[in-house]
Amino acid sequence: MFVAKNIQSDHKDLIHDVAYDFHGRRMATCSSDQTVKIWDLGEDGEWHLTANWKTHSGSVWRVTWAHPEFGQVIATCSFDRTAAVWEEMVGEKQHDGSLRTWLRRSSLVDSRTSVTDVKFAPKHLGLQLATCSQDGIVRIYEAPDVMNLNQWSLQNEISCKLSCSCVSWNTSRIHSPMIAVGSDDTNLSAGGKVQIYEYNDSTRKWNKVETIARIADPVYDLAFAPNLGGRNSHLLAIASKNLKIISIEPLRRDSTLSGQSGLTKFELKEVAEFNEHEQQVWRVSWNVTGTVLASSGDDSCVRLWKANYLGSWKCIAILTGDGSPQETDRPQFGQLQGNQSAGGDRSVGNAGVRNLPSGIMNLRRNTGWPSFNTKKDQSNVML
Amino acid sequence: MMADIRVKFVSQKISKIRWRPCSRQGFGSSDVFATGSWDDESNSVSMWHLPGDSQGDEDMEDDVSDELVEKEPRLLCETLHRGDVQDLQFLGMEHLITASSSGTVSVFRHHPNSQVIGVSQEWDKLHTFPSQNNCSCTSVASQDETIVSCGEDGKMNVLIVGRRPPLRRIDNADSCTINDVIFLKQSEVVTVNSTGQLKVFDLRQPSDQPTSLFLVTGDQTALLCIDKHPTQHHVVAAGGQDGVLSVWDLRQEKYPVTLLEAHSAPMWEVKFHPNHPDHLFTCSEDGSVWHWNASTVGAASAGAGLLAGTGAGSGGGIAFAASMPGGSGPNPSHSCPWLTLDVSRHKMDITSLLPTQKNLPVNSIDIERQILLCGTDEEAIYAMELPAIR
Amino acid sequence: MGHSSKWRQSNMAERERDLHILWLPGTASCYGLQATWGMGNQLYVFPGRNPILQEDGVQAHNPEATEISEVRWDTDMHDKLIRRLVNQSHNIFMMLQSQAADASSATLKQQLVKCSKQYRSVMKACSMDLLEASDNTADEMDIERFQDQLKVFEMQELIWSLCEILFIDVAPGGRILIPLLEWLRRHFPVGFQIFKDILQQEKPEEHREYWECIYRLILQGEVEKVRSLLARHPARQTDCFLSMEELLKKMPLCSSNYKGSSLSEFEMKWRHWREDCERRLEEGDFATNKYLETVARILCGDNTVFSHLRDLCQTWYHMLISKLLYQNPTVKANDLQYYTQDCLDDFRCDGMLGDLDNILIAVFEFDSHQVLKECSGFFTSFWFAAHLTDLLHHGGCLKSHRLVFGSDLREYLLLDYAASLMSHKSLWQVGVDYLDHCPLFGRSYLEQYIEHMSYESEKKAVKLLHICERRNMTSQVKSICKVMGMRLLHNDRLGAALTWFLKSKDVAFATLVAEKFLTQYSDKGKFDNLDLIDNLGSSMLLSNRLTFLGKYREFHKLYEEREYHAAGHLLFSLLTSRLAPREFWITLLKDALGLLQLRELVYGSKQTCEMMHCLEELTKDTKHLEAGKQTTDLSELQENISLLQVALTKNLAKAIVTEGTVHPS
Repeated sequence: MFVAKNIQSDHKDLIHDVAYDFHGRRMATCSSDQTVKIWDLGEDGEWHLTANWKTHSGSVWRVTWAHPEFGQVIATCSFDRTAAVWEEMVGEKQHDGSLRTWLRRSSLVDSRTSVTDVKFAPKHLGLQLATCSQDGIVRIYEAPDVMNLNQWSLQNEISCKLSCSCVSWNTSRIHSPMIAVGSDDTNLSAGGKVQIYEYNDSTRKWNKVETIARIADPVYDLAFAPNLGGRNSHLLAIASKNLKIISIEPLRRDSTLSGQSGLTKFELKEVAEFNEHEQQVWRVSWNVTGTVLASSGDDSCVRLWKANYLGSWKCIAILTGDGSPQETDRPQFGQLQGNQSAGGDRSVGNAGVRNLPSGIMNLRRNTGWPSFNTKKDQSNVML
Repeated sequence: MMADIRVKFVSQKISKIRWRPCSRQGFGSSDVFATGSWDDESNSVSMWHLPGDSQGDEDMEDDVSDELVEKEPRLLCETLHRGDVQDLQFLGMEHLITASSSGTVSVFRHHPNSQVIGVSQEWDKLHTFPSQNNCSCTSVASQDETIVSCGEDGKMNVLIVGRRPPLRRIDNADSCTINDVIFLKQSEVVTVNSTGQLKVFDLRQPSDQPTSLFLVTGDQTALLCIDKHPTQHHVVAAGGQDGVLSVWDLRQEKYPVTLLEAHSAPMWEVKFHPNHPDHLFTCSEDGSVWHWNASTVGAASAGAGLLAGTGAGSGGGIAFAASMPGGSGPNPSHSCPWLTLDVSRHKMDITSLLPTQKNLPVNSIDIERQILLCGTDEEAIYAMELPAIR
Repeated sequence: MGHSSKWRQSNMAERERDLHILWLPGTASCYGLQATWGMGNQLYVFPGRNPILQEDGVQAHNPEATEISEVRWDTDMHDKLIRRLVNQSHNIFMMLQSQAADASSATLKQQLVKCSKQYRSVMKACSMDLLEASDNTADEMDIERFQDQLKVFEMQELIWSLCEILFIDVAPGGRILIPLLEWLRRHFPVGFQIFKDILQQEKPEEHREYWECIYRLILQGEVEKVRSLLARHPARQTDCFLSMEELLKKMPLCSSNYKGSSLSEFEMKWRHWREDCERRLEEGDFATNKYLETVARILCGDNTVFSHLRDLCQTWYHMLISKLLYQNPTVKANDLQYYTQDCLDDFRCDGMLGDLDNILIAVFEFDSHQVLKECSGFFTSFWFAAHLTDLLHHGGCLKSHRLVFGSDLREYLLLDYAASLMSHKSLWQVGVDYLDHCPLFGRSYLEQYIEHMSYESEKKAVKLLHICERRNMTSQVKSICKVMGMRLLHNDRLGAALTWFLKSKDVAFATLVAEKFLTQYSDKGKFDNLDLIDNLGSSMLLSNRLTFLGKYREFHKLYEEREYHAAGHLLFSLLTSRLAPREFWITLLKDALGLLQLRELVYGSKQTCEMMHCLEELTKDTKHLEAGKQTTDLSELQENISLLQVALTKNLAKAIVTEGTVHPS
């Protein structure tokens, strides 16, 4: 069964990012209208707007939540060349219905160009933040005192030489800190568009450990899968001319070599490659367990991908809109007569939220279902 | 041995279950109870009817084949509840008080004739945090028309039914979360908190300070629930997050008279039998419900040195019965077996009441006469007949 | 989920390769579409392309362009009425897992049969609930939804019980037909219903379906019922009726004759009886009554008569069992598959085979993997496939041929079932137990889910903690405590925050809270959380700052109780053991001032000297402080220092005098 519910965001321009907090009770949206909105899930099961403020003087590209261990904190990045850290204010009591206040704790103004992505480090690394910008520099910031968000120090500047579009942290607790950076440089001969950096504790520097040369087309998004305990390799999803899933497996360090370089060697494998999005893949997002990937692209479809238990990835569902907004009058999936009345009592006081009927089904189960020819399947796995 | 158990699946996790009090004190048994749910997309308060027990309505001629279904608890009415139902208490026959995870205290009225239930009074967000995060109201207690509510904000409110503004607010009742509150006497309440403290407040005193403070042990294990002996009000029993049952003599020491290692997980409720106070019931996150029978304690011969109780499975029984230093020995004047456990070391019957080892927690119990009710996270209500209680 | 409603999908029998496209109602796709994940099976889909390619300044005013769709799937199990299934089958599942772990193979088989029957009775109970709900509502959408769900349960029971007969509760001696007949009767009760109806009539033979009922019953081997119907016919004393009665009475059927006699014995009896049937038919015993003739032809296993009565069989698998009953009553389970094709052919004109047919064929073929594959594709929830797979797994039915991945297949399905439970606000507790029984990935899934679980109340946090503690998930325990502590810290609930940091032994944050307590004291001159601080007990040892706080409060109490010597020594040890933070020295020394001014001597000369040393260090510090501190603070500090200097000097003098006269022991 499948249920859809629409939330009218009332942003005055296109939404660029929707971020869900760790516990799924809060949602942040950002837009070209230069604002960020915070939505809280009420006891009534509906999303309520609880904050709405102008964050930047340009389009806000991305919004991201810090782990709640650090309090209620978000970071944003913008076309206005800055990134910012915001914290929800506690203290003065407000009347019900009024909006809450978010304070700008810090403005990160080191970039000379549009800041295209911002991501908090996994929580075991403390309160760290990575930004990347069009000028090709990845910056790592840190708040040494987690109780004082006013102070962020620029820990590292990594020059990637190519205009950067996206950055992602590896969440592994075992492996030393690692980020992947994607570039949207359109020059196919400018080299690989995905670079992987690893932090070296002793030199306190980030070192480039890999450039994925085979990805020469511009990259618009990438994401490490949440690291499952049992998995030795790291999975990286890349949105480029097609969708790629790369596995990055650390090799055992050669003692003689590591003495000199200190770098981990990796074996990179292309686990999956899909061209279904026709031209360009825009965005990739992993589910909580890192087992299902959602991708979206030029075909205006969201596709869900999942590996069967033999490790081969298949599309399990496609989601798409029902066409242009002007045509909403025509009968469409999910609209049956007399259906809206049932939800009437639930949407009281939520003008912005519209309950929509739901439809049966379905992610196809037998898609991605293994075939049982053992030999053949095992040879697939080896690829 | 196995009690007669009736089960009803209700499609919501039950956080609280309460018998409606009997119409006349001491007469007849109630056949109506209320439940509250928690942790769902929408929560509710429901009223149920438990069809007559075997001795009860003899004039009811049931079709034998349908007997099982007929004996299941039947839903009378229900209404939505904003937030988790954290506590639920009857206020007389027709009113119910709930404590909500949203910090609200509500009074519901149940109209028994039309079988309708609805809010009659509400103290919205009585318990709050400075930020607008929900602050749970964890517990309510009532005595006549007076209601006391406690919460995670460590505050205590004294409310009068029908009056909007609280009669009194004790803002610093506790540094920590108050987990449960009960009335001890007319104007005296006792609270337990998340650092293992038990405090007695006299509501007539102007001071915000408790009149006395008791501790479980040196470590900070939270106390989650408390009940008082129905006739000897200085005897209280409390359950801890570590599953330990502790019994206090409030006239005496700071530390409990008896500590009984019981459940292997947080103990959510403890209840003395209202008419047979030698019987006590506990339920736990570990999914078990235990019946503690101390009626044999006084009678058994001394010096047997028997430590273990019987029946409650591994880890059951009295693993340690600690007498706190400075104890003055048995006081011949109290005949209450709960206070003499440590010195007598007599055998106590402990029975695990639910049939198989269950997996999901039992959050709430209530007992009237011979029927014990249980509300669980497996979305079921149990009604157990315990004919053995005398 | 009161607002949600379902309806039948137009095309239930999709082919395998068809990928399902979900059309999101009211969502514009002309602006592009993007998605981020929520918890579990939940996506937020919103219009827009990648920001970088977006030309800044191009505005989209249409509200459709800024609408976010929340999409959830695999929500079948979230339905109120179905939740009973989730919870009850959870109990059975858990029981089975514990039994499978320590039962011998002989007892395990019994347990499996028991569990299988329990699963079916839960499905049955849910069907009853649905039926009742359907009867009690007037909402047509709801009725349709309940009826659809009922059909699903009916099909699941059909498949499950067939699997039970063939895989789990295998009849001894391969006499498979008896349980199959029971299976048939349970799922095709029409004959029995008409039978009951007819018995109510005064003149049964005039009932419109009298003979049809007899056919139906004989096709299901209900000989006794057929005899009782025939015995009510007015012509019962005629020859043909008497002949039929004799045949039926002699039929060496099933249970009674089956038991106790060997297979060959039975086969011999059967042959004799069969020959008798054929003889009587040939001799025209039933020529006067065409209905009885048809019955006789069924008894003889005549192929054409089965085809003729096709509609009464309703399905090919009914016909399969009916035919076998009269043609080959001792058929072996493994041979069933060879008889399916004929029956299928009889029904082929109805068009393509449905999913259900394919599943049943696979069961008859003992292809357990095909059964599970088809089931998980056919049913919209994972409940059925996951539980059936688990049962078959414990029954050793997945090991058999070709596949070494039996346990992985089970885990794969259980994980997906658990995922749909973990995606629900309330059912997650059940999901946890299923994850526990997934040896490969269950644990890491659980860790991820727990980290994303919300807990608004302490009670829920305590429950989550217990789940983590029982499984030694230390880092999750720490995280929960930290989030709770942090939340309380932000709400200025220092005491409550401290209890959470103590629980997780978080030294840094316990220190932070202790410092906040001390700052509070410095600012207000009193502590707010004495009930907590005074009863810290040994837990104060977690952090130096906390220990200091506890000890400092002890000093206060001693002072209040006029235990000046003990108080004085405690204060002195706090100062000299360096347990006290430097910023707090002046406060301690100020506290000492009171003791120094007492008539009786508290500090000896040696101690006084050491305290003077401390004061000296502080004086040095004030020079550093000058830049930062406000001048008023500074002058106050200096005033205090000079006061202390005087008092200490006096005390030293007093001490020397006293020590000179009274020798220390």
